[in-house]
Amino acid sequence: MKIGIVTPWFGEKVAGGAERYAGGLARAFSNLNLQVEVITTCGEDSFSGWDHNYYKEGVCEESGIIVRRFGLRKRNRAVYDKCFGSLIQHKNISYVEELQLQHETINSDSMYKFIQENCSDYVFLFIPYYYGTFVWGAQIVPKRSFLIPCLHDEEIAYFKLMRDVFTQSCGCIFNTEEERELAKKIYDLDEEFGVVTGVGVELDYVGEAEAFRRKYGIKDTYILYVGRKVDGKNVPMLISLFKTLKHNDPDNSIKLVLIGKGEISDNLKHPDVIDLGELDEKEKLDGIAGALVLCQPSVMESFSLVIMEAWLSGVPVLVNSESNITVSHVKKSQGGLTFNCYQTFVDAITQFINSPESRTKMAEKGHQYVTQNYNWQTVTSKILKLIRSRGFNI
Amino acid sequence: MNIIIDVQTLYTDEKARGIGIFTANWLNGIRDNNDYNIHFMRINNNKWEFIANDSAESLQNILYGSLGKWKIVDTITQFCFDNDIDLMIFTSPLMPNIQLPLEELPCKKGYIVYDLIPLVLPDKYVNNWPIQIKEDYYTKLNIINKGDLILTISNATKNDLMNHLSIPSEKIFVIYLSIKDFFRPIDKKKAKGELEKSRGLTSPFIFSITGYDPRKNNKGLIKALSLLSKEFQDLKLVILGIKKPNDEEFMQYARSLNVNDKIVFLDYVSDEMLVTIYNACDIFVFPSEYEGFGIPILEAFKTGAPVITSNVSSMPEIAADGAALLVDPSKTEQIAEAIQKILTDDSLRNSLIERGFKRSNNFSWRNVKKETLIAFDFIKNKNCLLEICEKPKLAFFSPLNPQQSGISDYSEELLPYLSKYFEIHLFVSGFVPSNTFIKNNYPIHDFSDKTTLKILDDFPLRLYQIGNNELHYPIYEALKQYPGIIVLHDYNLFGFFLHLTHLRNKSSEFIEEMEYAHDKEGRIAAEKIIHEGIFPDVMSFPINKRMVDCSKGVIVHSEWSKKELLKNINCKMPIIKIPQAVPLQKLPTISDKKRIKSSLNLSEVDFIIGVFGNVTWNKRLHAIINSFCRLLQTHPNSKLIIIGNCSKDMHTELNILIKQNKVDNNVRVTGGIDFDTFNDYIKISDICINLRWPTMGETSATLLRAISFGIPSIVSNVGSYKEYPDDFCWKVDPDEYEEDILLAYLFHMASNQALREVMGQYAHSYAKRELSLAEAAEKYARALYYSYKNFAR
Repeated sequence: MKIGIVTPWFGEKVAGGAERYAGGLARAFSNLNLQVEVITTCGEDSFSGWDHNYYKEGVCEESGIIVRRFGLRKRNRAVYDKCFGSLIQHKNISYVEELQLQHETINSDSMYKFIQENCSDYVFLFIPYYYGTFVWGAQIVPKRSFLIPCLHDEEIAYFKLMRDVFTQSCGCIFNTEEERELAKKIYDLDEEFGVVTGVGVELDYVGEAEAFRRKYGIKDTYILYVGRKVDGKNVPMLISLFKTLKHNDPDNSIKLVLIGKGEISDNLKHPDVIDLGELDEKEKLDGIAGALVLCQPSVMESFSLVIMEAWLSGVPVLVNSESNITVSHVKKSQGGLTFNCYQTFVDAITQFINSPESRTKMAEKGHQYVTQNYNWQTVTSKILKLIRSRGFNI
Repeated sequence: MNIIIDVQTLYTDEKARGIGIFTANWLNGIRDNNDYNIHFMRINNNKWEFIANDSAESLQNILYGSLGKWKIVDTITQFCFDNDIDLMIFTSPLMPNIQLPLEELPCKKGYIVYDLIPLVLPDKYVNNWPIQIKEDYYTKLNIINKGDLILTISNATKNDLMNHLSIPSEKIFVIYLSIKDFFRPIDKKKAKGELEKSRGLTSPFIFSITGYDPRKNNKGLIKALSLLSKEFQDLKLVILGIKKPNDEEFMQYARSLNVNDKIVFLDYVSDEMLVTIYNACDIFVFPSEYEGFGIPILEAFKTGAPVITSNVSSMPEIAADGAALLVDPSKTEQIAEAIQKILTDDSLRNSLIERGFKRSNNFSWRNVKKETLIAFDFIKNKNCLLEICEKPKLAFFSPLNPQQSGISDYSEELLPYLSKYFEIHLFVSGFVPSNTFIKNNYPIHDFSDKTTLKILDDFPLRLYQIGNNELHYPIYEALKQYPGIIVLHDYNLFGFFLHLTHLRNKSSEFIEEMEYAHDKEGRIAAEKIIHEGIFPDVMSFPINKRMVDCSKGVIVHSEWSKKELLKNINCKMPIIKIPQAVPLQKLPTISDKKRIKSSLNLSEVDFIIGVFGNVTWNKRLHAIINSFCRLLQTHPNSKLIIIGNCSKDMHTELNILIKQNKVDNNVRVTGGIDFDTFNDYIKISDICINLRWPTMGETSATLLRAISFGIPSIVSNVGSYKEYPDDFCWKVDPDEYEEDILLAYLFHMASNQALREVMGQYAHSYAKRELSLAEAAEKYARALYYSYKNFAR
């Protein structure tokens, strides 16, 4: 019996937390000598066209993992835009529109055919919940399908269609207790329905702050944001807060460094906001190692891998107090501070600058929290226990 | 096999006595057998009531703790038809307070007969009975005589049944009796001591269980005692079972023989005391003149008492293998002699005890169960419902091809199966059947010349297939003249009657028909139609009453139609549901589909949605086309195929709608096509849509055909369509959300091939299980057989 991890995108360049989770999990299963495959599309990443085949279709080995890639289905963009437009305008969308929207996200008919025809050889883990590969893929053989939803408290999570997918599947694997509570609340799931496993976070490289500063010519203290630069992650809000800080305190030399894909609009640009775009894994970790603090303004996190990476790199974090999940990490670990307005944001930054001892202590506590709770051994053993409890002999 | 067991006995005083105890033990033995699906029946407030057996529940709880769960039925016949009952068993049919249904029932009947003593000894019984009781007894004997199965408790009674009622031996099964394990040997000395202490009874004593009935031979026994009183001065006689003051008669007799001080009458003792008495007695004497079995003999054997019993009726059989001393009950000297032998010969005494105990092992509840199940199997293995040597003649009225109708196809497919039970003659009006098999294998009578119908006098059985179109007019006319069983394919024959009357310039007949069916309201509605052209909601005015009243029985295809008929028509005959059947088809393979698609000029990748049957607007074509257009936005490979007879006007209107929506390339309307091509279109369909509103309560033959090919379906959530399982048949309400729900269903089915395959497999297994023509034919046979027995004479 093989474990098929189904994810819309996969590759070294894919920076999304869920996709990286898929890779980490595949490697962890592989290390346990289990047969594991990543089943994904030929798409490049979420920023590229969802019906554009970047990779070749077929089976290959990437970083020791077998990866099956399947061609993407053509999309009716007009239907998607209409439905998504309604969604972001918070209009009520009908069940049919839910179906249409999901049908026009990222889908692969040949992948679905593969799942149907080969299902008896696999149990499938679908990750993450937002896309067609999850919604349609998990409905093909629900009795062999487990979900790793990485669920967010947003409109799509409340789709009736999503409820069908959750309630028909074999079980759920949640990153955090808060995520499980959210799923229970939305879909009326039983207590037994899923397990909280967390994500394994292990760094095989320790970042070099000086190399980063040297390469990008950054001498001053900097706040770091790592992730996609999209509205949904509250990046514009972070830049605005930072710009206000600079406006109120023009002599402060502090910088805001942004690492990750996406564009920021012109009106948000500022000389002290340094947008480095997408960096490779090593440079990203170098960047984290040199930061005063890693700021995670997003409230749409089901886990927030980058927070864990900051702690493992000896850097404390600053999180949006509206996010149950990141706040929970911070409270449990005492590895950082939270903000909910400009003043709390500034107060936190000031504390990190003025109290280096407390800053270091927070970073150490964060490190301890990650190593104790989020290692792949714990994650895989919990997932395997769930799969076996449903009668699969793995 | 489905069995009803009448448990009236267990609601009488017999409940705590021999027959009641036997009945309860017998039931407990057989009711945990999975091969038999058992219902219990009783009568309560003059209504028959039924409850299903539940092996996990105690009999006590089912029978006495299920208040409100008993299903009250108007007629047993309807219950039998509804539950496909094969056999009904009456546990104590000859008991005076037990009722037997007098009507002919559509199942086998079995009776447990314990004895025929009143008939065998008429001067002691029936000849002295009040006339009413006597007549009742003979009526019951007549009913039993016609039974299909008799269970009895000894070969002696079996012989009586054969000799006095001429019941054939093969119908009679001897199951014997057994008793509780409670009857067992205990310490004799202790028993004697206990008896002396509690009842003042001292040994030696003879024990007997009798009753007031002269047949029990109390006087013979008392006389025998008197013959021994000098030789055995201490010997006493204990008689159990005679209530006061009836014992006085026997006491007086004892006085006349000067043994009154040696006799003790007991009218009732507990089970524990009974076992004690059996164990303490020196001899058990059972000198009855006639028995069906003789349970006390078995009790004595089990408890280790030496037994003397009579050499008549069942008693030598029960006490076979030298297990007791046998005597002529009319000869008191023989009884006395036997007593004397046992009292004076310990080795004889011990040998009788030993042989009696051994003999008792032949009578166990396990054996009773085993023999009963053998008897049930005898019924089960009679696979032909009809036990008529020659197949009865059946006049079969139906449209047949070349008359294009789903009912034509249905009849032609059913006929070969029905032929197993009947000699079938086909009655057609003004055409020659085109199906060669039908033409060559059945006598065909054209009744367009009305005089032909005269031959129906020779047909005790007539079956009329009734649908909602003009093909059925002549059939209806024949039905009115020669009533028979009708098969109502549509619950509401509004269209049929409208066309037959109003649209043929016979409006007054239409008014009459509506009034007949719906009284004054019907007349008003009919007049509005005729004079103002305003149609009411036709579903509120079902017309079928006249048709039903003309008939001798009604067969429908759905539970819905049955319930509606029962609700709306005061119908004396049962309404019988026989699911419409279709030939089971092979699931089409991928290569079949590929080949057929190519021959029908469709692409292999096309997703085919089929709408089958006569093309009418009540098949919700507007909703289907609108939903389909929306589906095309996301599933451009979809094709909608509308297959079936389509009027010219309908075709034109449909084409306009299709063009308006610019879906010409994705919609095909075939019009009427041959049967094979029709089936080909079903085979290549990924799903079948069969919506219907308004509905006439019809069952869709094309839907069943699609189900038998394993095609998932979407139907309207109305009428009989609701009865198909959701596993393969999704339901859409015909309301404002119809299009959206239909689209959502189409979306899911189109997007998930695995789902369609699973649904298809469910559909196919359902067809195999529920839509079998052979089973339908057997049900027809049962229904017609019932009609034959009730109405043929």
